[in-house]
Amino acid sequence: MALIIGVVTIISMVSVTAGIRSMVTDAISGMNGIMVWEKDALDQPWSYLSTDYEQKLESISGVRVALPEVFGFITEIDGDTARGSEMMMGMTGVMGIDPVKEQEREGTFYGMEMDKGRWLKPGDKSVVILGNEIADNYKKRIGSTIELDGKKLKVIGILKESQMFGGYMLAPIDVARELADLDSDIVNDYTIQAYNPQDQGKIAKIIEFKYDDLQAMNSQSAGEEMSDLLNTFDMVFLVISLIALLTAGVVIINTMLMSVMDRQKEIGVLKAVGWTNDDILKLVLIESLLLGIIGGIIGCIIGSVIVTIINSAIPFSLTLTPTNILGAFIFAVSAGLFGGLYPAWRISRINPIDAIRME
Amino acid sequence: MAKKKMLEAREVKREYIMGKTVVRALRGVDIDIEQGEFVFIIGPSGSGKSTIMHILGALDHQTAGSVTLDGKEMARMSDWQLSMIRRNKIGFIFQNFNLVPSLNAIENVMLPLMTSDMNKTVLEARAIKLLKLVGLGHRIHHRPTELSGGERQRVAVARSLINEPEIILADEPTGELDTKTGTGIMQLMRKLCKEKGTTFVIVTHDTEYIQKGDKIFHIRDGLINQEIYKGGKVIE
Repeated sequence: MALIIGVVTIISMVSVTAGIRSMVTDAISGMNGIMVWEKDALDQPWSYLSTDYEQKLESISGVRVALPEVFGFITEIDGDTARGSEMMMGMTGVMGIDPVKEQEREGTFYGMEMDKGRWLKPGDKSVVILGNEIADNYKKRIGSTIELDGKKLKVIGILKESQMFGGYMLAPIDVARELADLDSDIVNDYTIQAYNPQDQGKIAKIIEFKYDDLQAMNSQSAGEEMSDLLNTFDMVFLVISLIALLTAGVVIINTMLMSVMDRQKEIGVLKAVGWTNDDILKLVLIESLLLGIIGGIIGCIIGSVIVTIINSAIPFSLTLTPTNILGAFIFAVSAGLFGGLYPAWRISRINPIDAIRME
Repeated sequence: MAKKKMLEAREVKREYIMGKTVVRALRGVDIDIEQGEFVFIIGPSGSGKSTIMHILGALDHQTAGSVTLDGKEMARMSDWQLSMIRRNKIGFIFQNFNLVPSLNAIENVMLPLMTSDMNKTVLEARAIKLLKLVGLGHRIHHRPTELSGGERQRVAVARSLINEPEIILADEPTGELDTKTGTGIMQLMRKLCKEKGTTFVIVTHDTEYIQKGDKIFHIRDGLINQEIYKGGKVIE
């Protein structure tokens, strides 16, 4: 039982860290540059920057380009209340970028990839690219029309399936501004790309030094911070696993000890009729190994079911790989084997007469 | 014809320490048992009769004296060697049968050799043959709980024979059986002794069976105080 719980714990923990890691890595690897937004703003959608900053930021030495970005939320799709993505707590987001300036971007906006259709290009008006969830939910294809808060747009592209952007739409910046109720001289943030990515940290500092009302986040350092955090997570996870292993081991020792002590008499008979100490040792070890294997299988099944249930209940997904399951299984089997060693050794040395006399 | 000497005990002593007192269970016992003999060891409870049987059966060590089986001194053997002796040369029958409840009759009979290299089919065939020999051919798949006391002891007798032992040691084999069933078991053992030439050493306090014995050792207070041989020869 404890073994099963141990295995379930390990499977769930591994899945959580693996899930968070993959999501964070997605987000960070997509963010290529320095993110600049209003200081103390809750998040990009609540940061309002004047378009004047575009020139100011581009004049900083080392800066190659400042790319304006707009974030907004949609309340109605095709005349009905928008069904948002779970990832965004029920909201549906639209992001706007400037198709002209985007040509200077290295990589794509947040690493987005197209599944069908095409990317935005200069001169696009009243068009939109849909995240895969929105396309699925509203059954939109390339060439379909989608009505966002009363504004009709033509679907020109659908993004590849992704956890981060499934519930987002991407439109030319003017369209997005209109949907987000922003004036034409306001953007939510800028992504700054340097000539030399190694200068990003320095540039971010210069921006924050020069402009009191801005904050700049360097994607590299953010990545490093996240990676540190995840490593801490992994350490915590490792410690918990070890505790689980230890607990399971102790419980197996206890279970096997009880089980062999209950059968002292039988084992005494086996010894009396000619079983060697090694035969008894093997017998008990095989039993506890079987206990480990059975506990491991049940634990892996329950763990996988729990992870699946959690996945359907929370917005981001836990990642369960065959390697993780195999790891948890090996853990169970080794706990079984090690937990069986002491009871096996102890009972194999029992004196047959004492054991047989026992009632 | 001079019979081969099976077991020889010389000045065997066995002391136990219980708390602060030393219990002298055996105080210098001499026993000679020859091949094919049907031997009884009798005596009141606490006399040391089970102790001497355990020592003769390689289940216990004496604290002094020597015990030789087939001319080999057992005190010098390792645990493993003693296990091998019990597996290959000795069969045991216990008072309370000591069958494994979760195994059926055949499996219980096969038990002593289950971990040997012996082919399982051959072993099973041998077990069935022995169960037929003890009159349980019709109950081979029954578990101990489905068998009567006499039947259980027959399974135990069959088990003691599976390794074709030279000597079978029985500790109060009729102790938990009624007189009729007990007599049946005793007759079965006598028959096996005659037909197979197996040596039997039977510890009992039921004196009604002992007339059938070739030798009777009477043990009291850790000493043999009387040896009775077939034909009435008595050594005090």
